[in-house]
Amino acid sequence: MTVADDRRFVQPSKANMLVSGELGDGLLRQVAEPITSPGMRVPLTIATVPAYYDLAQAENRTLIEWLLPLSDHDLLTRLFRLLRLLPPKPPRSERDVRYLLAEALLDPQVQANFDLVIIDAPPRLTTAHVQAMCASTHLLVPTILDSLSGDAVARYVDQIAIHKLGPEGDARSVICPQISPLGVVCTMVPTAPRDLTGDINLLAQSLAAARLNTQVLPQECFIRHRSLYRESAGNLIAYAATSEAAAHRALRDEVDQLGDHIAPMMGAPGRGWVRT
Amino acid sequence: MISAYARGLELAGAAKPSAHLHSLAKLLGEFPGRTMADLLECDRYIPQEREAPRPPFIDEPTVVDVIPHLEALERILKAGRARAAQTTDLGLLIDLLRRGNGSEIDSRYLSPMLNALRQALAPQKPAKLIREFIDRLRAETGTDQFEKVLSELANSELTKEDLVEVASAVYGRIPKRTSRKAALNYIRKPHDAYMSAKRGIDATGGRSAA
Repeated sequence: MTVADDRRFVQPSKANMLVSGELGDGLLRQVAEPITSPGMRVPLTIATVPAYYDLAQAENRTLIEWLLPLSDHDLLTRLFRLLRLLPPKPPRSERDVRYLLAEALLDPQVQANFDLVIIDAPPRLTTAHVQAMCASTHLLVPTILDSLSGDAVARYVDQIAIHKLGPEGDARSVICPQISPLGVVCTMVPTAPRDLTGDINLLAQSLAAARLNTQVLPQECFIRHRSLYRESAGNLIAYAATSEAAAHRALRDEVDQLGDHIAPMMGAPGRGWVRT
Repeated sequence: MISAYARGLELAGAAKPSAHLHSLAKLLGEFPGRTMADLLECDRYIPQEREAPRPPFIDEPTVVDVIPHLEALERILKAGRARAAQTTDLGLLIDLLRRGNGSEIDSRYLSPMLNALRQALAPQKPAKLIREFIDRLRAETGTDQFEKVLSELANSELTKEDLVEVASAVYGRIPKRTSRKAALNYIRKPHDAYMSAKRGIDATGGRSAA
């Protein structure tokens, strides 16, 4: 595949359009790309909305466009009050940037055609991440199992608490009351047998400092560090590879264990979307 | 000192108070290495609630039967210009007996109280002590009291192997060959993890970014 053929380079990226609120009215359903690659199971009922580097620019632009009218509106409101006139209607009353993704996902066409939507977001409160929080029902936090990550995960979960429960003493400032933590799953765990109880205990202690009760998932759900993930990156989804090699089976079993654990917590049916 | 006073009472024909004081002196004599501070520390082991009334036996003394004699001994020591440490210790013992009783002083019998003190002063079996430290460390993780408990643990008579057992319970499995110092480091890790995360969370000031 050449650069010219690679859809990731098409500008603006679909994630860019989604964050900007340009994929409403069922458009998301139409632009979601079915995943088909050689070496992957067919039929694979997964569709993606890929992001590219332009997403970062789109996030900043959307945020600024949202805030600037507010500033103008404040100025106009003061002016109107000074003139003893009725203030103008706020321009963002209908398009709150934080809920653009939720609006797109709640579209009837999307609801009818997708069972499960997985949003992969960085652990920073960027515009896209805030949109993801406002659109999600459940939160799964993957992390590396080390002491530095423990601190970061606790801070992140507390940030989620602020938006789910509101800042302390200000329960009205809630933007995503529906989101429910599934837990923290450790990833890139060394495959060599090692006692992890101490490290897991430290992670749990760090999490205890956050305001939102979040548990570390059982060790059986952890995702090991496997070279297959690295080798598959950019080409196919390792989990959906057709290969029946032992390494591939081990990888699939591992992901299935995580899926089996969290599916009931989400009220989802579990296996069956991809593998039978 | 208390024994001598008890003997004096015995010679004076006061057999019962003498016997009561002898039982108290016997308890103190059983633990020669312990100080008054140890005894006061044991105060928390004495049940504070009023004991259920027991059938009164003629020879069953209550604490109130003993305290006047101890106070008399205190006065004698002061009048005889005894060492300040002696009178202070005796005063502390009187306070301890009084404190164990609260306002229900008449209702408390001496022997159960002495038994409670004896139990508390007796060298504790490592297993019990280990269990107690594990519970306290877990309860105080993330609080200001953790360092105090850890310091108590470090200064306790527990062996290196005992500390490894405590560390395995509060942190996670560690090698049995771990040194005493390293085991103590492992024990404080969960507390440090909590405090570190808490500091990070507090740094954001609970503010919303959205």
